[in-house]
Amino acid sequence: MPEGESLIDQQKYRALRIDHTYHSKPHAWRRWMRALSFILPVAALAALGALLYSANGPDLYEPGPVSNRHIWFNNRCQDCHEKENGKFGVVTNAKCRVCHDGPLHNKRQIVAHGGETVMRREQELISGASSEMNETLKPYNEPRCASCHTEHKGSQQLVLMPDASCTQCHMDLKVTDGTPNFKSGIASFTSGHPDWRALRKEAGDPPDKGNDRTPIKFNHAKHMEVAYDPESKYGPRKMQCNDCHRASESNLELMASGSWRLDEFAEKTLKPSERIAFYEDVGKNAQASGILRYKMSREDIRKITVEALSRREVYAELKKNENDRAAFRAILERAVMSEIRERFGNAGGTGQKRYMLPITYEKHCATECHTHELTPVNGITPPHGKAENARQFLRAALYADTVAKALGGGAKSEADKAKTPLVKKIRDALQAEIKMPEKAPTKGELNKLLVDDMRQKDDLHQFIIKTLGVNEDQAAQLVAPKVDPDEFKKFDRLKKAKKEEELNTSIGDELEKLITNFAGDKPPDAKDLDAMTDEKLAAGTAKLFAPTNSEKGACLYCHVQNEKIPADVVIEPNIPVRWLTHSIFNHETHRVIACESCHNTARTSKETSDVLLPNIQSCQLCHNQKGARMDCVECHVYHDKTHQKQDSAVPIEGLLKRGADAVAPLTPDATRK
Amino acid sequence: MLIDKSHAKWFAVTLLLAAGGAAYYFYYAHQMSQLGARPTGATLQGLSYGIAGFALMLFCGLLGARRAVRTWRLGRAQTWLKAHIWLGLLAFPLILFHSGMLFGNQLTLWLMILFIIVLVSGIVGVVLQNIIPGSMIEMVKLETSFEQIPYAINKLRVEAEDVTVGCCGLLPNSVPRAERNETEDEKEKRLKKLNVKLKTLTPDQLKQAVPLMNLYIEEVHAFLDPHYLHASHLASPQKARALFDRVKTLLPAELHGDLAKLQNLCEERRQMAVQARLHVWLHTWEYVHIPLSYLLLAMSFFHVIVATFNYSGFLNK
Repeated sequence: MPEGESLIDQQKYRALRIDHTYHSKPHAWRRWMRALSFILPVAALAALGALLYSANGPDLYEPGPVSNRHIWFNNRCQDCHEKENGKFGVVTNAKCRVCHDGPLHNKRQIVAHGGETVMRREQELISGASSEMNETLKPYNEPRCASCHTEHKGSQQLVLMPDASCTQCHMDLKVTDGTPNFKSGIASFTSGHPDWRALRKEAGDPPDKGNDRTPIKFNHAKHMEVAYDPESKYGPRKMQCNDCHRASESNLELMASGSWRLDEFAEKTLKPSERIAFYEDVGKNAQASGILRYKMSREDIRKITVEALSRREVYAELKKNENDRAAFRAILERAVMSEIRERFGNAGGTGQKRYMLPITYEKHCATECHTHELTPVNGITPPHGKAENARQFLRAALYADTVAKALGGGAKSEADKAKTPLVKKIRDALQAEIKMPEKAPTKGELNKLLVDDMRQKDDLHQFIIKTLGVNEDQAAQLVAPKVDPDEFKKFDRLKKAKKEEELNTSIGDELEKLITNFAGDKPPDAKDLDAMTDEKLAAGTAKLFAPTNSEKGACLYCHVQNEKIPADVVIEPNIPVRWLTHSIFNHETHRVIACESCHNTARTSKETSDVLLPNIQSCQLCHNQKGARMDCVECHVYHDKTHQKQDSAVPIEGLLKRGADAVAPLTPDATRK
Repeated sequence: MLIDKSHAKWFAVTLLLAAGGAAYYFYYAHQMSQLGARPTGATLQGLSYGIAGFALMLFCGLLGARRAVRTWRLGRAQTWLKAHIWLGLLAFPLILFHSGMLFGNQLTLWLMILFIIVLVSGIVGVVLQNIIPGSMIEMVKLETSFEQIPYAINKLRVEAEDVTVGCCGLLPNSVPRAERNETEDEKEKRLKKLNVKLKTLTPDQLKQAVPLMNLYIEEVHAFLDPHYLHASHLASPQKARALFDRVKTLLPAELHGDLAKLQNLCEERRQMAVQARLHVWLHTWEYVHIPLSYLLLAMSFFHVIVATFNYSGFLNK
């Protein structure tokens, strides 16, 4: 500091060094600041404007990325957006329908706001007799796809739209003609949503009982109190829900690990050393065949064997072959493999396990408890099923029985009596030839079966030779002393000459002769056999099919009489598999909940008319604002997938390389409003 | 601007609004997640956040206009600056909520990066503005106008030259002369005055003034240059004092005053150097903050246009 000078003097002194016009000559810093503040924004706007016209232009102004499912054409705006005069506009339904069919929701729908008119191909039945169809295009009012499935919101599930998309119509439901079939005033699941139709009482419903009109008589309460036979595969316990009601047949946890049929019959027939080998072989075969992707444990295969043995036809076949160990093993293995294929194979299976599998008499009623429910006719238990099939089966079985009796019956002479053991053997062999097909054969078919069978194995006399173990001459004498033995030799010639028709007729005739010859003094002829059979059938089925008889064993014990078609005896029950047909429900996702927590009326239900569905309040306990999801799309699907077209396939090359614009859908029946 | 108690209300309001915005955002995000979606700028809530955030950004940009036209009677400049700081801070979370916490695609990604840079540079600037001026008062007592420092330095050199010539006689020709922006008349007057002064100096006086001349030639002249010599002895106050004290012992008493003047001029030069350094610290952030703010506003405007009008009218392929 200069000595003697004051601060003010110093400041005045320093002030002289300042150029007082400096403010008009901005410093370089200030100039650069202003320049950058101008140049940068202008340059950026220019660059952005130029980029708009580049290949990556759309990235700049995309309001947000598209969902993952559409990400592969994220940069191809024209795939979805209509373009007019070079400008991109709205997404029309026609664009969406290049890939997505989007079946119509309801034919009578009226869209609340801003819909499009879409032409859809409809088929109309012109003539019921000829099943001739006429195809026409009809206009329908539909909402724009993009009004519900809104894109450009990044990673999201397009199907999960807000309730407003649904309630815009269902809050005040309107239709093109008539009155709506569904309730209106629905604001959400917990506000305005009615209870299920099956539980509601509306005009036409029985006022004093439930809405289930299935023509079957079933008492849930009784079944839930009964205990199994100690020798059943379940052991001496009461019935549980999943003994009958299962969403899947491939749940090993639900299968019994043992049963009388397995422990006392099958495994006893197989040698002890064979048992383990049997299970091992089945597992390896199943894996090698591709049915199973992994090797199933012996314990699990044992469970499946229990299930296989529970089938009546399998058990019957095994019973026949219980003395032939090799055949027994082969039949059992075939049955177990079939069971594995059905339960675990790709061809079968129950998919998503949403709904319970249908209850069938054979699988659920007849395996353990109602095994001999139906009244036998002349010792023959008819199969459960249509009355006409039961009649046919009984008739065929009775005819065979009559034939067999005719072979052994009426023999009076000593010579004939001596033949009785041999005849019995033939009769048994003949009876064994009568298999039990699903549909019982008529008498003519039965004869043909016998004839065909014999043709496949042997001619008649070879059949006799094989059955009795005699030689040709003995067979010829035994079979038909009144028939020229040489006649049988002509069978060989006919067989070699492949004169099948003639051979059939010959063998059929010979069968009749055989019967005649073995009948003794008064051999019955074919007409007598028929009459005898019909007589037995009529007497036997009177009790079974009696309209007034509903004792245990008769059809009407469980079923309801078909008064419109008496020949059918009962009305086909057709128990519904699904009760809530306008929504989806998944038992699998609810498997943690005890059955009776929701179906809490099952234990006390005594009437078939009781609908045992849980009501909506039961669902609302969990599905509410504070709990599990309750939005509309959780249970309902807008598009009627049962009418989804399968012909809107798009070549992938076109889609990948040129975009949807270049691909014409196969069903271009959508037009823009 | 110093952050003091007067900012307390601004801080409270900003915090309140940010907290409220955040609370609603988390509620809205939860609602969206229930639908399997996430918050985006296209929803009503997202748009609201975006509009609010952009409005605040625009207001912050108006500070430049307010400062440019100082006579605008639209509130005090201090109030504007406070609003700029706090509302600018508030804008960032609002824009974040608008974007759904995503940085998005190309344009929106650049915007967010730019916004972060502008925000951070602004915060840095506020911090520096609160620390450096205080230091400057202590460290630079002889402050001058920053932009005039080169001009002032030249003036210092002129003064030093005059002092030296006035007591030591003419400088050797090898020594560069200070630039003097003077007219011919002024130059003539100065030289006339100098001649008069030089005629009064005796050879003994000139001889006695040689140490001062040498000091000027060797140290002072180079030191009084716009390009600061950090290596010079005069750059360090202690070394400079020692040097001048030593030269003082070599000079007669009548030259001590001139020596003191030279010393003061060097001191001023040192302080100018400190001032320049502090000024760089104090104002460099503005070169990031201000241009990028305008860039951000321009790009945001672009984003608003293309997002709002759904591309119509912008493409003509």
